[in-house]
Amino acid sequence: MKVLMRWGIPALVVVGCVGYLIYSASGGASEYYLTVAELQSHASAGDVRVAGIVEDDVQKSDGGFHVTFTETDNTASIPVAYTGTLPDIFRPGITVVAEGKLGADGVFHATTLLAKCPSRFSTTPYTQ
Amino acid sequence: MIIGYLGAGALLAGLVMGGFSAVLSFWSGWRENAVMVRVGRRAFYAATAMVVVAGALLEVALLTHDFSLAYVTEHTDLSTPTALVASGFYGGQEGSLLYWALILGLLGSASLVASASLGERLAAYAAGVLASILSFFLIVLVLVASPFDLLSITPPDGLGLNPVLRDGGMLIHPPVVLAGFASFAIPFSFAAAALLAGRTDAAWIAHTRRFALVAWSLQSAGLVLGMWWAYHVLGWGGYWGWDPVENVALMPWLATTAYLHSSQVQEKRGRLRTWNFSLVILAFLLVVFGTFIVRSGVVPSVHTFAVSAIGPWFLGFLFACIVFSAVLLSLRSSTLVDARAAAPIVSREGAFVVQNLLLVGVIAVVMWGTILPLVTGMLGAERVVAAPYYERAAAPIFAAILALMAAGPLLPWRRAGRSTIRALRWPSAAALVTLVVMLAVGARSFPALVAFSLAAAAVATSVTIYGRAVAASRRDWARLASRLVLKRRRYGAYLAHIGLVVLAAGVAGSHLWQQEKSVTLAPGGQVTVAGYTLTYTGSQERQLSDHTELVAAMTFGDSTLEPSRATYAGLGGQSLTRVAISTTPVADVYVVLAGSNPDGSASFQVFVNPLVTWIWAGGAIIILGVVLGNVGERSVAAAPARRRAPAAVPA
Amino acid sequence: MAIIVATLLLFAAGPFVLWPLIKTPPEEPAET
Repeated sequence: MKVLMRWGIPALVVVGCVGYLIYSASGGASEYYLTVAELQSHASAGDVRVAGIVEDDVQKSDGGFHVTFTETDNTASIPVAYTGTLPDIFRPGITVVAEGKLGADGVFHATTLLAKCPSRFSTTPYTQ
Repeated sequence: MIIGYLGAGALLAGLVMGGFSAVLSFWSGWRENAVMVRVGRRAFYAATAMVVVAGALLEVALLTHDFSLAYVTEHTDLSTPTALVASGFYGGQEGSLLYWALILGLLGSASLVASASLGERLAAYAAGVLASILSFFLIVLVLVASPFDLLSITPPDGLGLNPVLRDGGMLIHPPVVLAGFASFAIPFSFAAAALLAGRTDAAWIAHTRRFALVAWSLQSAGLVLGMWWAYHVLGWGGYWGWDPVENVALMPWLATTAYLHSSQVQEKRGRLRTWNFSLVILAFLLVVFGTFIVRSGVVPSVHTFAVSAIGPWFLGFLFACIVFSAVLLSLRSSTLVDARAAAPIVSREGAFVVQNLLLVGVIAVVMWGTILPLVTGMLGAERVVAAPYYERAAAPIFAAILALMAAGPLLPWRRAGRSTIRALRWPSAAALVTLVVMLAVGARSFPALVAFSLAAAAVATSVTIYGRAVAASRRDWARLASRLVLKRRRYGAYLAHIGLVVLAAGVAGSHLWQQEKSVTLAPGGQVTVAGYTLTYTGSQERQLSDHTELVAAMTFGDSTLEPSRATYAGLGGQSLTRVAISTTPVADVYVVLAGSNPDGSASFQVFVNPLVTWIWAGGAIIILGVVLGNVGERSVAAAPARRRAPAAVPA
Repeated sequence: MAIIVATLLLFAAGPFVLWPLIKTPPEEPAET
């Protein structure tokens, strides 16, 4: 019993602190992770992430700092405008995750663009 | 073609042998049949040999461009450089599993060779557990994900490696990390064996600790190499993204760090056995969990995860391991009860307990962030978290750990008294001085002030330990040297501590004080970031066989940086950036070429990253400390005999 | 075909694995 008292209290303190840290940090910092189709029907104040495939209409400008393209998940599409350095792998046909807000102009303004690393564990088999 | 059949045969033989080893080892351990124990162990060695044969066959197939194997076709082509062809072994799903099995077999065999002195039963059970894990991997390799699957028609050339992956980092980082992951199975096997045999005493510790140290060292190297690769090659200006793949590599490392410290309490005082066993088991469960997450596609990640067939297998294996471990721990809980009374909280032992709690806390933070998409996705709308969450939640815990590194080593094993307070004056002074200096130079960031003050304190403590050795030897350098060598485990550990603090300082500096500017410049234009002025002098574009290369030149003081960007029209306009970095111990100037415009201007992203070199230096010092501290360790059998008797209480 | 290869490999490994059994006569106690 004494052992429990001695170690229980610091343990409880640490657990409590960690729990509080997790709770407070995840509440504000988490974002919705949506498909393109879900984006249209989703109303949110903060940034969201949208995953989809890049279509063939990539337009780069401003020395590569600005790009517009259409992102699709094969059921819905959305135009995306991104300002910043493009990930190397970026090209039509790859999966990207755009982080930002859907503007009143119907364009998704992305502040971050994450592209999936090329096949390390993909199971795209060789098709003959 | 033949290689496909030979390789598949070798894997199948390995599976049969591994299964045989598992069954026989458990049975012979239970029956204490010494002869059969040795047969079971040899069966494990034979299974390992089969895996080695399979591995050699795969490498031969790769190097001879045997495109009849689907794996070779998918991951190489005739134009891929040889080194990268060879590295294709561990570059794909099936090959990386074979590589994993290979490391497991080799390290497992090494651990078993040394294990005979632990007692037949424990050695037998350890072989049984190792063989079971190896057999699982071989089942997956044989039934679900074989690198030796043949194509019905052999193509003339392969699909090749994406240019982004054609880099030296690809050669080193994956095999080290994969080896790290695989090696956590060894301490787990010995922990499980000890619980099964009901032997939770000191003899087990030295052996388990040695292999936990191997796993920890491999994983440390893998993590730092990964950070180095991300920073130098991927070009986004950072080195850690809190992506699920990174997180699952970090968590077992945290658990093992806790174990390596906490096991000292068991060595010295025979206490904290429950913690130690739990931590070793937790590390392995986190590895299995991580492998499931990484290869199943259940959480979003920048690393490609197709929903693959092996996901359910690893989920099943994870479930089996959790049940096995939980049952074992609860059935043997009586053997884990500490015979001696607990030391007060303010003591070395207390510090280790707090360390365990804090590190488990970090694991909880990282775990929650990693599985949040899975949990929220199942309950409703999927949500993800990014770096801000991890930083906000984990940073305070890391700060507490730094403080512990400053205070813990100076605390005595029993009650802390006046001499302790005297000893703590050094780290306190170091912290205070650092704080004052930082405030004086104008630093106002609270996290930076806290981080660097605590870092200074932790370094001061480690230096104090060395200082005590110097003082005790009374300027007799030969005596000092022999003392350092005799107690090298201790002094090596404190060197590793210094390394960790240097690394932490590097992380803090580069993270808190990073500055960045995105700018488009005409030739002759200048940009200033954090006091560094760069001048864009011009760029050149060259057309090569499969890509165009744009190289820009920026002068910066006396040096010239040449960031470049290659564009592969044949691959849909995909690019490959080469970051240009100017490195000094104070800061890195890091330039990314975003692109060029028809009017001759070019766009850049310029970062100034302070103290990044400290990260790599710190990592090297850690490895140095661990290696120096553990060179030529005495054999297992000798160690328990020299232990002071009261500590080792056999179950 | 792979099964044939596997069987051959297992037979090749057999003597090595079973050696402790082969060299210890049944009645005698096992050596360490």
